[in-house]
Amino acid sequence: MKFRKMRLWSRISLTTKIVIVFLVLSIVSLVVIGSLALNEIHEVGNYALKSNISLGRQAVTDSTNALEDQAEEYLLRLVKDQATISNTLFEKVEAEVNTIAKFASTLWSNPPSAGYPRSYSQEEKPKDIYAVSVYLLAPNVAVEEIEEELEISSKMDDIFIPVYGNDSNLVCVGIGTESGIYRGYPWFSEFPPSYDTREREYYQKAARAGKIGWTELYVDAFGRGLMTTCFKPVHTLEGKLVGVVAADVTLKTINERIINTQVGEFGYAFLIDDKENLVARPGLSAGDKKWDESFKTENLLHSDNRELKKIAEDMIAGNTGIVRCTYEDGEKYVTYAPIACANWSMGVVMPIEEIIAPALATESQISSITKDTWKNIDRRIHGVQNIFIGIFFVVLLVVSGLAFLLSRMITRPILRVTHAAQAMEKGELGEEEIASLSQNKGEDEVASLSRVFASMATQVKARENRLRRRVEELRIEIDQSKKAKEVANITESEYFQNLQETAKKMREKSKEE
Amino acid sequence: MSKIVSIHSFRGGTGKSNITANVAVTIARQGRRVCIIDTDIASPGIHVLFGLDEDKMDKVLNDYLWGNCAIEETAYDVGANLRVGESEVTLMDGSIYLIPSSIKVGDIAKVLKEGYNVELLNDGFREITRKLNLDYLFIDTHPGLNEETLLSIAISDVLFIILRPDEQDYQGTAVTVEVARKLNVPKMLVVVNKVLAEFDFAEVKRKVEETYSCEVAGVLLLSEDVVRLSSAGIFSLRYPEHPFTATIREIASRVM
Repeated sequence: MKFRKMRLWSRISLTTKIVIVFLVLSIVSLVVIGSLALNEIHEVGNYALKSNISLGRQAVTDSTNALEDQAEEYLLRLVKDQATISNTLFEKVEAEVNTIAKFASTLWSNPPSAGYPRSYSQEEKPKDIYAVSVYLLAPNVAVEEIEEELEISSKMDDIFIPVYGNDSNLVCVGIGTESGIYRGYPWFSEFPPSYDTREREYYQKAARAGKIGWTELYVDAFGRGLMTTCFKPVHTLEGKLVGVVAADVTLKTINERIINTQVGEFGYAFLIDDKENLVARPGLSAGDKKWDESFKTENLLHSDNRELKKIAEDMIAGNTGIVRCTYEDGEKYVTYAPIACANWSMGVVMPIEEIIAPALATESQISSITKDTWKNIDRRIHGVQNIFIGIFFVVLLVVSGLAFLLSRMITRPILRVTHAAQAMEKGELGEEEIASLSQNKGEDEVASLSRVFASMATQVKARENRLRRRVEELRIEIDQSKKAKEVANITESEYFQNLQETAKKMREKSKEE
Repeated sequence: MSKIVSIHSFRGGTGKSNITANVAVTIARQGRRVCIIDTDIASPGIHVLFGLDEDKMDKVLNDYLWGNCAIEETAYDVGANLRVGESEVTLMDGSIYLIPSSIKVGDIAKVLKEGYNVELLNDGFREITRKLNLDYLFIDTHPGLNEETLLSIAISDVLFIILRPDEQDYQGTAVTVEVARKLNVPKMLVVVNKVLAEFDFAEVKRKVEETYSCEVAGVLLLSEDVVRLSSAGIFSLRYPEHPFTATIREIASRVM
């Protein structure tokens, strides 16, 4: 195999060899340089991209963290403030209820002898509903039985009116007695016929608890929407249960006052009551539920979301906190703080997305810029690559051309000698060719070769000529007959004959001597 | 035992005289007593090679042939003149004499017209051989076959026939060889002179021997050096390492 390669190489002309050498050198150089350069460019491009990306990520991470930290701080503060505000309101109501209860207790313990205003039942509308209270008797309760107590109870107006007037949150205040009387303020006439105040939740809860408390959320019997009631049992000074004082606060107030806190664009606040019913979520209302149907609000304890359940438990426990919670529609912050009075808890929910929205916006911008940058870099790299390839081919062409010309320059004199040698071999080498070689005035090896070859060729030619002559010349032709005639001419002469004799004699003579 | 050596060629210009001088000197340098006699009375020339000019020549061969003197009076010892450059050439125990012919035009014409006694010449040969106690007597004959040359050939012990590789010489040499054979010359040798360097000398020798059925003593190179020296001196003294000189020595060895 090696021999074949060498034979192939030896068969290629000198001109071609030189061109090949040039090309190989050029290609190798170009390829090496080109790949190195392109490689470097790629590296730089990649580095730039990576840098860019990591910088972007870093920026986004930092800003996200900052935003989140800030948000957490803010939300906690917000919820605490709101809880406090709510609590304040509820405290106020409790204070009022306490006052009314105290008044009632004193009143029942030592009823005054006179000064009782007139009592109005719901059929008897007064001129001013804010001037007097309304009374209501439970079914099957005869006026005669409770006449006295009813009168006493009318004195409650003295406390009802100022208290109600002092707090716009109150929808109504009232007292229900063990005896089945209900006195409420302001005057109201929508009570249903079956209304027995002692069966209502507030009354029963109060009777059980024996202290001030709050009911769950309920639907108002009189169509005033969702309400919650603050209650307190009233005892005489001797400890006998008189009844229960109650103050109703509607959800509307709570909503307006407390809950319409704007928390960002998608954040919202909520209350949960002590039974973990979700209270006062924006948009939450009684709908068209009637008052004696149990109102199903979202009850967090029954939520499928385990995280929410945990939060709910923590909220009931009266704790303050902030948790990242995964909802169906994303991660959200849930902050909460207790509203101590009602054993309820205030919560604020904020989608984390919204908090970190600016960071995300930045991220997407950075990402898009990065993409643009990369596209740009890529385009440039491709541009350079194409330029390189273009240069490569151009250089190749130029080198081929130049190499061809150059090699011609070098090989022309060599080829002249070669041609002369070949001609000499065939015996066709002419004088002019030899002359042109010997006239080569150059000083390099080939010029010297040409001159030496010319001189050698001349010598060889001369020798060849002489050889040719030699072969021809040495032909000695003797005309035998002519020779014989001439010899005879001489030898047959008398002189010769005599000479022969004489010679013999002379020889003998000298022999003797 | 002295020997008579004749140097003959059919035509002139074969380099006969030059060869004669060189071979004679070579032999003399080996301690022999040699004498050259220039019988080419028509065109004498060998004295030039020895630097022997007119002024030094008193009696010449012509004088002896006309009976004006003894043969020994015509012999000149040219060995003493032999020089190579500034230094003298020693001949050891040898010596070399030359009996020249007259170069005077008048003498030449007289001889050509009147001829001379061949027998007298022959006697002269024997006389000088005896008188000088010669080992070798070289007779430098004149070209062509006539009475005088035939006589020289007839009495020779050794005959050299010089020719050039030239068509004009071939035919004549064939006749000479044939005639010489008929004269029973004991040793007959051909010398081919003025052969161009590019010839294969061995081939030439063979061809000539084949043509004449006669041994070739030497094939002498036509050398520019020889031409350049021409008759200025003895070539073999000046150029002892020259191929020409080597061949001269070979030829000389065939004589001895």
